[in-house]
Amino acid sequence: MTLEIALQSVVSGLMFGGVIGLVAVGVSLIWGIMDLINFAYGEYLMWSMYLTFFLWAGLGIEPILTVPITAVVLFGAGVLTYRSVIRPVLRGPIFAQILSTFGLLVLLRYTAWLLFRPDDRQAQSALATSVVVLGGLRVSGGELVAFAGSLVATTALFAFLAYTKTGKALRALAQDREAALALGIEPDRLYALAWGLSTAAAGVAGALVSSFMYVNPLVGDVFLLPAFAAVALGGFGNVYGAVAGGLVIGVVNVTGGTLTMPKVKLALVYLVFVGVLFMRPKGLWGR
Amino acid sequence: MNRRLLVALAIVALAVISGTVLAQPKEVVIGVIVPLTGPAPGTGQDCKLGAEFGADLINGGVKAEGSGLLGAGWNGIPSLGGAKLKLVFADSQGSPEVGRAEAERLITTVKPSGTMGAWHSGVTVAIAPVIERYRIPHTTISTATELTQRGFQYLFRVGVNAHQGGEVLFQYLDWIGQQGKKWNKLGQLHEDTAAGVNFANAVEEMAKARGISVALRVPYSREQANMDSEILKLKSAGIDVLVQTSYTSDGIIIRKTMRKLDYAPALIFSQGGFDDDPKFYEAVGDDANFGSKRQLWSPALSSTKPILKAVNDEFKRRNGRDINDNSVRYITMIQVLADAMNRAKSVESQAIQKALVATDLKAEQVLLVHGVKFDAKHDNVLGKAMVAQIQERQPKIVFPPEAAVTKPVWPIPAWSTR
Amino acid sequence: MLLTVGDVHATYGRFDVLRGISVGVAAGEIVAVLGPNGAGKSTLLKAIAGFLPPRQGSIRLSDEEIAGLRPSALLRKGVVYVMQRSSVFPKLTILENLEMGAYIRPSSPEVKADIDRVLGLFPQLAGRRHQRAEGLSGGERRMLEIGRALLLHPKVLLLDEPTMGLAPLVADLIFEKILELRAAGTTVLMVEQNARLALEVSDRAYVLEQGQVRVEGRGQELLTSDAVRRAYLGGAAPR
Ligand SMILES: Nc1ncnc2c1ncn2[C@@H]1O[C@H](COP(=O)(O)OP(=O)(O)O)[C@@H](O)[C@H]1O
Ligand SMILES: [Mg+2]
Repeated sequence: MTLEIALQSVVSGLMFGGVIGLVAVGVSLIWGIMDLINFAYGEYLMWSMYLTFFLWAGLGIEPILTVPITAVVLFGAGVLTYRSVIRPVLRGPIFAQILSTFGLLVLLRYTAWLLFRPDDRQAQSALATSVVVLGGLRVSGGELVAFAGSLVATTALFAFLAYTKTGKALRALAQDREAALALGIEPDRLYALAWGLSTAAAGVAGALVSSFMYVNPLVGDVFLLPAFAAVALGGFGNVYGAVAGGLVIGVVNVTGGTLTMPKVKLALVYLVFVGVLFMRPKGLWGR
Repeated sequence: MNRRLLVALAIVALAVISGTVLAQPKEVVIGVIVPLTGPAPGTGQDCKLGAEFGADLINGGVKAEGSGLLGAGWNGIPSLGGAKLKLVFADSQGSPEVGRAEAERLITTVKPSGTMGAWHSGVTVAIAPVIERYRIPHTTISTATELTQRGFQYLFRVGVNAHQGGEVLFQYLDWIGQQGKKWNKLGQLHEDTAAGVNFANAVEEMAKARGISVALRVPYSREQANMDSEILKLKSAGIDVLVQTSYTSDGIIIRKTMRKLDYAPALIFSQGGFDDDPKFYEAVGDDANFGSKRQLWSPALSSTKPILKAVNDEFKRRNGRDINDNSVRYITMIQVLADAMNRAKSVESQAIQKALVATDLKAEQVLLVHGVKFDAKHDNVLGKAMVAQIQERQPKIVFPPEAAVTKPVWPIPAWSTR
Repeated sequence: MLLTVGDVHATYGRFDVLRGISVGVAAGEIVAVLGPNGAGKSTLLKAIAGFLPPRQGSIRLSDEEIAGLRPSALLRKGVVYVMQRSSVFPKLTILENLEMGAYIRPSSPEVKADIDRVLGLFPQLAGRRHQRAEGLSGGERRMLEIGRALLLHPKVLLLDEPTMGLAPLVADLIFEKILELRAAGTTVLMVEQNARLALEVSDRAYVLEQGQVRVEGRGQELLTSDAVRRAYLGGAAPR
């Protein structure tokens, strides 16, 4: 194992981790604001990837350029999901909430299965195959754009949460729902917005990864499972921690796999996940 | 009209009707379980086209008289009064669970006289006990070693097994050495289901028997978005002869990652799979070039056997593509089943099974490089392969020398020069 | 009466916590609600603030029925509620907490001016406006909560135990602020544990027991009434 290989694996891990981070941010947002785990989150990502694929296959749109479209469509899908599925169970027992997002998972996955069959499909992109070499370290154009896109999207979300009145209200709502209510902050509209933003993040991520990853009805798991680990690492519900968690998970995955055996890289991810839960139940950056 | 006349008429009518039924050539149903959707839909499509073409050959729709091919000039199965083959397809989706359920459904609903499939070794391993339980004569091209180790009576492997497929690699490496070309370390990269594991085991055994050590073995699970650590591992270990078993989507990611991380071994050798699927070529374009694979058929071969060229031309006219390793094996499996039924003079499963055991098809009678003759375990003793290298996005036979249409490019050129 | 609660019954599910309560608050008054733990004092404020719609009875603001309205609607009518427990947003800065106080008001220069005014009212907060609220002491949190409420220019301010858990000096300070507010025209209905202090600053008071009004009267009268003293002021004679 040369230093060059090790460094390369870290760079590769960061590239991969950027995307995991964006997915984790989407999960973490809903978790943080509504105390709700959206098990169906990977399915939104999958649907975004299909959207990107068909925009590419039908209209010849470069995958990366579908970002605004997938973001808007998935935003709408999130709002719709909140209004039709989540709101009715929000006051119900936690069990009903978990069951409803599981139900969503099944519905979204098997609708895709019926419509698209379990075929792997992949948009072709010249950008994705181009290789960028910097000081001997190598990344593909597709990864670089996905990494940058993830950072831009998460930064935009951070800025929104930190600096806008609505963003602050979302955070206030997350911290103390009753106190927010007493100040006239109506949860319903904000929850819908949070769902829209969360699924829009899946929309962006879906378009970004489509240049280097194929889509099939099961592809959501490929991203969601590491993203869950990133969410835990970053502190449940801590949107900022989720990005950092994603980067760590990416490096653990690739560098860990390279240093030991690639076959165990997912196991390493879960080892870190369990280890952190054990030693710091609130996550590395949990507060 | 009196009563007696009425009865007489009725009897005549009945006789006419039943006579028609008797005179009508029967249909013989063959169930084909292939991955029509799922991770390898392109592959399943090739299998389907091959089976359909094979059935049409038997049914008299493909003109190949005088070719010596089994089924040429037939009009249905001769000994069964010209009974036509009817294919019923079932989609395994590339999944053992789905495959098993589909096999069960196919067998109980359409009651086929024979079945074939399921392409993916892992799926075939899953459906084999079902086939055996219902006693359905079954042919397969799956390579997993265990398929013929378990004493199945009704399963016959028409294609090569993992050892036969791997054998040619070592013959090729010997020959390459004789050409004065060098290599250092053999490593393996394979997906972790039956096909990948079995082939890797077989290669490892054969290597050991020849005193070659496998320097590194990297199994991986298929559903993942990032394969950098796999490639970095191989690159840092200095593996320059790489044996790779991948399906299409993972094969695409791997090839792209190889380019990205500038990993170009001297040889990439596969047992088919990703590099038989048109989608692989669509996705990686010229980056598909210079990979090598064990090859059972080549369009280029047909220039030496004119009749095969005519058959390939007809196939291409119908389907818009050349016969490839997948379609050719499904054509052959149809020939094998039809031949057995013809000799059995029956569609009764035990009779077909007995006939299959006695199969003796020469290389000239089938499109594959090898003929078909089963040993006690139902492996094809004639099974053997050639080595093809992908050049200009086509498999070109480079070994053995007597069949070669071109010289191998060795080593694979560095990515920076491509 | 500015605020009239008439025969209100309210329940958390099993049995009525408020059992026919009637309370009135005139414009400009400070009215205190006293009573033992669990009497239903907080529940009364919750019912008025829209957090627990009454099962029966009426709540009027001037002449308008407001029972069952949502908290946000009540805020717009000038009914502002500060709950018993601490309700600052711990991870938001003091300034952000105040901005959230003005959430229902469209952003404008007036809002900014109001926030500056509130910070002027509580100098301890002003210097730390960019710090998170989680670093504040109990008294400072109360000030922030009251400050937040002020941004809505309440007609009626509902305060639930504003001095609970505070050091006497701090509690005095809070009461001082409440008197200032009243002087500025705000009507106050507050629940207090510290009956003696509450009765001193309030115009009138109600004593609740088991969801019903037991005694009602002017603050000073109750302070000297034997019955009340024995029951709720620990029996000690007024100093
Ligand atoms: N959220 C609730 N759910 C059920 N019961 C409650 C709830 N809040 C208060 N109670 C009950 O209602 C009664 C009155 O409570 P509360 O109004 O808080 O009393 P206090 O006069 O001390 O403020 C108590 O018996 C209390 O246990
Ligand atoms: Mg109380």
